[in-house]
Amino acid sequence: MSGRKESKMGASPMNRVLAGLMVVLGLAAGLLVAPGSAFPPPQAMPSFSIQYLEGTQEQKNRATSPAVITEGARVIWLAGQSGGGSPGNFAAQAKSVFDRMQVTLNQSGASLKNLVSLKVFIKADPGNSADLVKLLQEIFPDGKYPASSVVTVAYAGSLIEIQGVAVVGN
Amino acid sequence: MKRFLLGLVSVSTIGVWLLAAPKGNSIPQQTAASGSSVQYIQGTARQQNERAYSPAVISNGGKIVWLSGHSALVDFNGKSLAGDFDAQAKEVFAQIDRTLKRCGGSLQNVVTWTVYINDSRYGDRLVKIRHDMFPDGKFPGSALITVSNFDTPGVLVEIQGIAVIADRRM
Repeated sequence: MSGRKESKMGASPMNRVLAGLMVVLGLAAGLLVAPGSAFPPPQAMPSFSIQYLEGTQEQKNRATSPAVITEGARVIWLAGQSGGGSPGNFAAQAKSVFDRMQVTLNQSGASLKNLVSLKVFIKADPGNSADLVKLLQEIFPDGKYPASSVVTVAYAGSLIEIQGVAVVGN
Repeated sequence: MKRFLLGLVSVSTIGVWLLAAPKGNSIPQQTAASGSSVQYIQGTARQQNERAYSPAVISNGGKIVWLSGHSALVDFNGKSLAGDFDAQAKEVFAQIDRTLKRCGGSLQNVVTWTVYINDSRYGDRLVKIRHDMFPDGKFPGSALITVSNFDTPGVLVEIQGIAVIADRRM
């Protein structure tokens, strides 16, 4: 009787090892299957959204938003674009900067409306920033301005250069 | 013995199902920003300790905040900061933090910025103040440019940044 019990007890560790193996195999299979194709893959990109933070009166007067928030966007990083032609005419050169940016943006499936950020470099001269603000107000009549900075730099041929970033939905 | 093995197989199968199911089910519930991350590449000792910037920051998904150039001639309470570089710099960082809080983030979410000063001698002061803003050493990437001047007379520093608000900051 006791011998039989012994032999049963002897088989038990074998079974336990077997059970352990099966559990390990099950876990491994589970880990392998989980990230697999049994379930639909997640959406590659979240849906596109854009939000213009409202500025103070001073920021509105300067034709800038304090911040623009985008999500799930295709981002177009533009090179610095300088103004051409019209020597000495700041307003005309500024207009040509945006005309050229428009061409580049069109090639990327976007337009000036998609600009979210501008770094503006201008030659210091009375009236230049006022001309710039006027132009920005014409280009963005709905007040959805890109978030901008404006600094004056040493004169180097062109009176204005702008480096912009645009975003478009996928 | 066969029955025992069958039982083991069914237990393993249930294990597989339990492990696979939660991951599969969680996919459709993913929100737009989930899985998004921002990783700060640690700089050299000089970059980290003296100049307070990261050589690179890697973002993946998340909410992008395009900030305008922030400058400060007065503090939050309207007190003049004319001629006081340190006070202007600190107020600019505070301003950026306030703007980002309106967007659901904070100064800690900035991934890159362009810092404009109108006197190169302010550079060392600027990086010292900036260093203290990021006790965790996760500095934004940065360019520090000396310009001839700003749009508003009296401004000594202007900062234009880009922030990414993501699930994880590494």
